[in-house]
Amino acid sequence: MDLTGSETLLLADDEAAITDPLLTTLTRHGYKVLVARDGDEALQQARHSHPQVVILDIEMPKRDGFDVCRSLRREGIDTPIIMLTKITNTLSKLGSFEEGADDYIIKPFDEIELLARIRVVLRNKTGRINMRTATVLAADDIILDRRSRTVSVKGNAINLGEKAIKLLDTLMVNYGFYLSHGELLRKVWGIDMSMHTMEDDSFRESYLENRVRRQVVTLRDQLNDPRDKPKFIETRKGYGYRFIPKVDIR
Amino acid sequence: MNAVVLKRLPTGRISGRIIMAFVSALLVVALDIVDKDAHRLTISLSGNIVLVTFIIVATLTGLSVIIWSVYKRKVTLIEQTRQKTQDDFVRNLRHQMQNHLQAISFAANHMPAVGDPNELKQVQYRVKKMGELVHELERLSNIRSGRLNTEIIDLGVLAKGIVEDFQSVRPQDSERIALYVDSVPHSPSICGDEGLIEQMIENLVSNALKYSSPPSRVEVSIREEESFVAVRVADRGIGIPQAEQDRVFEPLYRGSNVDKASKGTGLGLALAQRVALAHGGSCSIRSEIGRYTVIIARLPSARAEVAPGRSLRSWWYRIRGSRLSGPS
Repeated sequence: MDLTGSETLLLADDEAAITDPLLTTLTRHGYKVLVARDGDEALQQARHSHPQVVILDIEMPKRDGFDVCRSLRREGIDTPIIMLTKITNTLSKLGSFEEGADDYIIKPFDEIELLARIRVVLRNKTGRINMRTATVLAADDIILDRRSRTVSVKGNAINLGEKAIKLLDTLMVNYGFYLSHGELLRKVWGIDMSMHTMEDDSFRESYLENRVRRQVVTLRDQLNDPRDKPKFIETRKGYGYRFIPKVDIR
Repeated sequence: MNAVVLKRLPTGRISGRIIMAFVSALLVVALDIVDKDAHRLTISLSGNIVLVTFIIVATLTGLSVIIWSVYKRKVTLIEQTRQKTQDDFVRNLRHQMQNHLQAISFAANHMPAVGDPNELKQVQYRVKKMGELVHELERLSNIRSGRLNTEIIDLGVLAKGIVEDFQSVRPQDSERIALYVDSVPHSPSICGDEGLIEQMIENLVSNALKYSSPPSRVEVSIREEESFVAVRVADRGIGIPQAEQDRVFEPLYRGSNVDKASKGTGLGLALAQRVALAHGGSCSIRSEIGRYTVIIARLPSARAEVAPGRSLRSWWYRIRGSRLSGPS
């Protein structure tokens, strides 16, 4: 499916030096771009112009990006949101993106990287707004209770660390879709590989990918899910990891 | 008295009790007067003196406790305001810098291609490097004890994973890294923020590898020492001059004997120390130039949290009727 061509994007940032060049690039790639200069305008445009993706800066006049994001989610608007910052405060909590953002990108970023993120959120657009706020996620035999931070398989509680719970949470919310190492690092660990220059330690990327791999192996062991015939977490080379069963909320 | 203990004094309860004592004393005096008027009971002069003295002492104690709690609240408020001002400053600085860098990056990208394309690459590279630095500095200033997402961590297991990761992605160093975990009689566990602790150990190992050359070994050891778990990372590398050892934990500081072309933000050890401090621990260094460097991060053991008599806090809790869970 060709995702570029007709989608409308809302770009909210008060800096013209940032929105002007982005507008040119995004338009050149076939997107229709609306620009908002402050939080109130962003909220209005997101409500009434029905963009397919909202790109929100955090610090804007009148209303900050988090506030806009929260308001939209409260109103049940499920448009994918990419924040132009790291979601520092929320990543430490369970459920990762509690403000309701779908992804983030840290300034200064490459336009190419932003285009890639837009493509991913458009592809994964799921209408799963309730999954982010649900207390309990359930799939087959697995029940993840976000309030008590516990996971049980077939009614037996299993002892998972914070990271493993966060990883399982992220995989469950995105069930059916492959999440790459980079996406999991951002969403579970809060590490954005694209912002690093990589020259320092050329091995850093593979090192961090290993960290994801290690955590997935631990999680799989705890869930008693064989790698060759997975029931829950499937690995596909070049794509990433996918939670297989359908997830319901309670 | 230890500041930590003072902070935990339940001043509200004490002042409540003193006020109760004060009210009871007043009641006794009132009853005394009533009784005297009714000629049913007489209290001796010495009895009255004791009573009055008691009331004065109770009032003074009550007042001092109230003044103390007001003072404590004020101090906390000042500290919070100071912290907020600093946070706002760092956030604004980060925001401004990131916006400028973003604008430079876009402007460079959109410039018509003239001259050497490598120059454009240089601009992009420097912009990214600055962005990374700004981001890391903000992260550093945000590491604080109140913001940790803590859980019980088995440091032996964590360090094993980290070392294995280093070995798998740097096969050339695989034989160089050795891990020793002293898990007798129990595994060395701490109560901490796993992401930060992981980063702390990674930074120490990465530094040790960077500033020593094959085939010299890098030794990582984890062992419990009294109420702390010590993470020790030792290398036989270039070492750090004696005069500079106090400064190695300063952000952006780089040793005078380090090749200036070597990569890194200069924040690795600063971050390690901040993480240790935020967990109530410490970071120290022993080094001899050209011979070795040992960095030791000490973190409070998870057991120390529940073990009796190891801190003034547990001592206080025991007096108050043991609010601690676990063995007493």
